[in-house]
Amino acid sequence: MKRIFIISSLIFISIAAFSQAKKPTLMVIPSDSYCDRNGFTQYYTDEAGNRHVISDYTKAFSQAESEELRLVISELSKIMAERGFPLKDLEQTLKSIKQTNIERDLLTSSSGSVIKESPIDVIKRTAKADIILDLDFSVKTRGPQKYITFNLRGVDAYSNKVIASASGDGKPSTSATVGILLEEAVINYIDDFNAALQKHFNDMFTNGREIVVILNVWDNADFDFDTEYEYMGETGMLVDIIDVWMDDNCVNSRFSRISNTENMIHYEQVRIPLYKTSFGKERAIDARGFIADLSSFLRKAPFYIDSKIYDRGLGEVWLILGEK
Amino acid sequence: MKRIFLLSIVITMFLPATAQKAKKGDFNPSANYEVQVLGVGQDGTKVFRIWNTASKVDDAITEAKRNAVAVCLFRGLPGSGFTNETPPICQIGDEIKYEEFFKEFFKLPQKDGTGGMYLRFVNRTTDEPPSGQFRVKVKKGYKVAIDVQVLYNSLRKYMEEQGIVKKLDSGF
Repeated sequence: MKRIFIISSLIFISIAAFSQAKKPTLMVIPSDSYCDRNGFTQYYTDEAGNRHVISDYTKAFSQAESEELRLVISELSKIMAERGFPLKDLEQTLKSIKQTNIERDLLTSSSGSVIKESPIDVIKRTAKADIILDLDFSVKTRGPQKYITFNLRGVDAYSNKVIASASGDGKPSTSATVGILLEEAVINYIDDFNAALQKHFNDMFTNGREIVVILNVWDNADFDFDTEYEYMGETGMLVDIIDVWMDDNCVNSRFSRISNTENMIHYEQVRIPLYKTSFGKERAIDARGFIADLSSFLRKAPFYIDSKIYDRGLGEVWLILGEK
Repeated sequence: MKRIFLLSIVITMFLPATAQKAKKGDFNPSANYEVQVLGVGQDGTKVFRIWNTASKVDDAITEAKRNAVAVCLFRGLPGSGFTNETPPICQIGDEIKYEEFFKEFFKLPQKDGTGGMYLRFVNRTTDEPPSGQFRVKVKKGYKVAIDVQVLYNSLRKYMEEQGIVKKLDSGF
């Protein structure tokens, strides 16, 4: 009896230890309108001759005018860290990427080899987060008074859905400094913002993580999504068979096929379980872990299709069929 | 003998009814009170005015302090001209789910040193007794208003530690 109790306790402890879902990263990013208003932008002309403007975050943090931005980010970081969600710092991430690039370029092996890197690997080394805290604020004046217009939106980086937002005008003041007004603005909105974030996480734990799945075929493949296969005694197009797989494997069969052609299928609002058992243990999974099962499914009879998994983070994955 | 028997039956009949009735001083989560937010407080705090009615002024102040903590836990603070609304710390129904915990938490300070746990999270911003428009004589006694500062973040953290409220990062 004692042995059974000890074994069941150990099983419970091991399940509890491995049942932590993958934690999303949060990063404050100044909004495009904030960068544009303050001149933190870069211009470039594309091959067709069109002129584009993009936000220059390095400039946003390196200029004297960025003092207010740093202050707001510091206040947000402090509060979020207290709530158990330390923010990934954009300024430090940009510096770290720069430093990493320099070190990688200089690093060689004893025989003079450099680190193997594809163009995709280079692109992957960018500042990214799973939830973007899109921040916009401006200091406005009304006669002798100053006040803050504040807008903070939490955006899922993969589905582009706004999961939390807080915005409004602060109380005008003649005596308070801009710093105090900004601090007040953050304190004023953060509780409501965090409550919305909590709601989003609660929904995730109840209904699964929402991800985006995109399927493509390599151009040398001898099949496409309209090719017919015989599966479970019926003949159907590959797109329909993949729909069946999604229906069987999504939490409560929740997924939406947004668009598809013979070469592409785009799924959104795909609700995936947070854990799955692999290699004998229950493990937390993300979009890649989910789609690896579809990849295995397609590798078997009657399809015999190899595929390459390309993950874009916790919440988006591409599966390219034809070969690895 | 017969009289004693009848008397004991009558007493027994009344006992359950008496046991269920809330005692004077027990916390009432559906108490009626009014709240007016005074501004954005210091980091982690909420500053507001709360109105309460009782037969005596002192009782009204005591109740108001307790209700000030309760409003942050169960009702949330309303928005005002320049302040955003504050969501409640607890979820709907938590006051019933954790009834025993909140009964103890909101127990008024006793002479033996027990009770008064909620007082750790609320401060009056002045010691002045309410007067003028903040102390109104009504039919049932006095309706008074006091300005309070609730240590909102500390209150939330305490509730998280006691397992009443989930942490933002719980499950990750």
